[in-house]
Amino acid sequence: MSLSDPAAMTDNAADVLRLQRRLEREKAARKQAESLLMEKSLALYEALELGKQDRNKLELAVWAGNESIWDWNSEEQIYELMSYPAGASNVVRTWGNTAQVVRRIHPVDRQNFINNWQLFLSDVLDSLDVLLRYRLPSDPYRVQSKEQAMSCREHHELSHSGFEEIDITAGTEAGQNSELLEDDQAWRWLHWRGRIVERDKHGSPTRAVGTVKDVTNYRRTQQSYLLMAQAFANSRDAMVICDQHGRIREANQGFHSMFRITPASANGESLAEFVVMPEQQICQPNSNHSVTCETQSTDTINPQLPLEISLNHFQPEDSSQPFSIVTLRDLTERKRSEATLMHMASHDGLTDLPNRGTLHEHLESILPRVSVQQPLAVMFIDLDGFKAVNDEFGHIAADMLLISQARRLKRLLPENGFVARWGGDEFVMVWRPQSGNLNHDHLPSHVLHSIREPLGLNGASIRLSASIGIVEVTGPTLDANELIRCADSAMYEAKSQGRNRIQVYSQGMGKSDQHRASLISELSLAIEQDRITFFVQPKFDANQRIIGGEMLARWTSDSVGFVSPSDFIPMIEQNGLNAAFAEAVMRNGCRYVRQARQTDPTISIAINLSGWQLLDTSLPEKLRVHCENEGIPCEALELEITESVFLQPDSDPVSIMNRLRKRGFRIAIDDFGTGYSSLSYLRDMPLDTVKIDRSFVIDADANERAHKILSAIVAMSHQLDMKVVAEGVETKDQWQLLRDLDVEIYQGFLFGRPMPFDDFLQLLRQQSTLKSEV
Amino acid sequence: MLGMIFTEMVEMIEQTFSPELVDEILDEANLEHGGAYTAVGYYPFEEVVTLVTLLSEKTGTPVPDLIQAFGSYLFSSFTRTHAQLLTNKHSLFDLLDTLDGDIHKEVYKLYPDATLPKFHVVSKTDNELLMEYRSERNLQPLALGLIEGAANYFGHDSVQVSQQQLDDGATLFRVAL
Repeated sequence: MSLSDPAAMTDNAADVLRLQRRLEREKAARKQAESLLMEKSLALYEALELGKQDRNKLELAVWAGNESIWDWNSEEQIYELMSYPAGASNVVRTWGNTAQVVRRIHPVDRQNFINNWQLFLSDVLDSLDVLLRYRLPSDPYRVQSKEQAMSCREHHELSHSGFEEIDITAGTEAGQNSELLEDDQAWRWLHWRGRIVERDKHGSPTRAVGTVKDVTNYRRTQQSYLLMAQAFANSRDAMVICDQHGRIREANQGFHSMFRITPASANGESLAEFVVMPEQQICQPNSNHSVTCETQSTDTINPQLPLEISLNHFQPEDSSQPFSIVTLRDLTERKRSEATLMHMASHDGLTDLPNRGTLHEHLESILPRVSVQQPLAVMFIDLDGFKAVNDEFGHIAADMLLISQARRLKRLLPENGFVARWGGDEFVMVWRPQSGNLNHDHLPSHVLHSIREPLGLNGASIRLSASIGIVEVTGPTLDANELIRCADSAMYEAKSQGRNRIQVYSQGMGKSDQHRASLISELSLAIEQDRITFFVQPKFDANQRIIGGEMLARWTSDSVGFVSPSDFIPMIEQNGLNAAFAEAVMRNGCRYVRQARQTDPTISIAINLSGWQLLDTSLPEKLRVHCENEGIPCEALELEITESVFLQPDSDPVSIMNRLRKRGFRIAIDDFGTGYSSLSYLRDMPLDTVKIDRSFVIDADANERAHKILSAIVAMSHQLDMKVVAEGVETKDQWQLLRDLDVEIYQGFLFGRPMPFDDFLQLLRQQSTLKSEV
Repeated sequence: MLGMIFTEMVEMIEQTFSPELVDEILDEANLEHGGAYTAVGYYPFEEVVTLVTLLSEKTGTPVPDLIQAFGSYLFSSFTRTHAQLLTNKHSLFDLLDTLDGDIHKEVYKLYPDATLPKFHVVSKTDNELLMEYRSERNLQPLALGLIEGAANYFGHDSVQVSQQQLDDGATLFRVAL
């Protein structure tokens, strides 16, 4: 191109202009780019600042959440932990490796963590989510540098699948012993969570990030709730939680069992479907705002249960509605026990009849309704001769008999009647007489006959009778006590008239009771003041010579005069006067011996011993002292006992009898041949004398068979070296008969009646004088 | 629209036609900034329309053909300036398959305000790929050019690309090797 060429010049100028335009464009574009760069830089700076603020916010959020952030990468096999310990102003950064983590985990939780970590890194788990116990470093600010964390890595860190090198059951690196392992307070519960955030080109995780949070307090609260929930679930009492409408929200196993339902069928149901809910006004809340009262299951529940229900209202913190916790206790057993106790308290244990207290209550309850149209009768029944049965067969057999008689009475009881055991062998029956007239009522005679029906007892057939007293009232004129007292008086009247009979109460009968009571106190005084006198009935040998006598008690009351021994001896026994009376017998017996022997030194005196005395092991010593006091030999005192002593339960009369004989006392069996005579007594008992009962002697006179038996007894007694005394000899024929049988000693009206001791001494003196004259 | 599109277009006109034509067009376009484009700036889409229309008038080449040729040019330019985007892309279909997923993600990192079309691969076999294209600007020729450029990059001489307009406004590209 030439500058002189105008066309070329024009082209050149055009090129220059074009290039200038292009340059201008390039400049403008550069400025535009620089300006944009500045804008971008500013924007970037602001974005960075914003990013920092955001990160700070995030850190604060994590700190506020009491969480730490961990960031693990597979390349270095270490993690970075950013935490915000309490009181720290800045984040604390530390590095570590998984082996170090595992060593701080509670041995029990280690395997679980390892399993989860491996599954997490193998992509089997979407995320890591593990709860474990962990021992935190004692110093939360202690940090480990990245280099330290890397230098103490172990080869297993490089593999996802190998933690085999770590002893997962060993203590932690702090070296805890087993005691520390047990110490719950030493361990913190940590919740580890994380996600994979980066992968390599094969998809394998290369980086995981997550949080770890100390949830110990939450966990302990949770455990506490769990414990309470389990306590609720496992309580033996039935428990339910109801909402304000009484619908069941939760029910425990005890409730399901009580009503035999499945858990599903209880929820949402109204509690009133199962339990009769108490009225508000019946159940007053106590100081704890709880209500407890008795109720029962509803009619639809079978069997219907007596229940104790306790209601407690509460309002959960997270609910605006009140709930109530209801505890139900099955009272079936308690009710049964109460009923049993009530029955025991109101009934006689032996016969199961109502007792005195119940009788009294019953009478008091029906007395107000008594009228002429509706009279009331009370029957007092006393079994005759029961004591003898008791003595012979023992208490157990006697009890059986009482049970049988009680059953009979119950069977006879009319529809509106009531029968109670008054005590011992006494029963009381209360009823409304048929057609309102006692005379037309067959009940008393039925009772009398029923009691007389024979009863089998230990193979024997026993026949008892009863003395029955009846009182009838046609208005509420008497109270319960007075009614029973009247019936009792009538019963005594029946007894005194010969037993086995019915006596209806009439005015004045009660007086005999008062009379009897005053007589007992008079008797007691007489024994105390030694005013019981002792007669002596002489005993004779075959030559009609007095060889001794039997001492017999006599009492003349100041108020009523002579009282028969058959009356006052039972009074002594029944009123606890035995000991004092026995003492008087022994003392006077020994005195009589001393005085009689002053006239005839061969004389012996017999005293009667009661059965209970042979139970007294000190008896031989007591008798010896009495003999010693009077200066007489023991041989001079003869002791008469009856067969009943052998019937006492749990007694050992033989050993006492042996000890008595060893001291020299002679023992006679009295009234032999009556009652329950057994020849085996003669064989087994240490006896010196057999006294044959008067009835035997009387029979033998007229009855050949009785004669033969008598003869055999005498012969056998002789064979056993025992002397025989015949009692009740009243005729010469009897005497002759007995002499023919070689009976040695005689006692009876034929020879001499019981007489005052002075008269006996007089006889002795006469005999002595006669003897000396002969 | 990304400034880079304008700078690349200016460069293509310079190389394919002449610097004078560039100057002429920019002058005639009577732009506010005088055609001082910088790759990191953003410019209205209408300016591209203006430039391409002027280029078509000056050269007599239809607009779509020009745009398609630009697409092809643009791809080869990418391979030089943004080579990192093609790492791990071993075939044409590999690339097309990951346009939305990988390539555009990377583009957004550099140009957060970019308005990019959507590519959705409907089916893919060894020899054929069906792909839906959606764009507000309906630059199907540009997309076609880019596909051809990519095919060229991966050494495919004869790639058949056909397109079909779908009812919902998308365009279905069938790429057959």
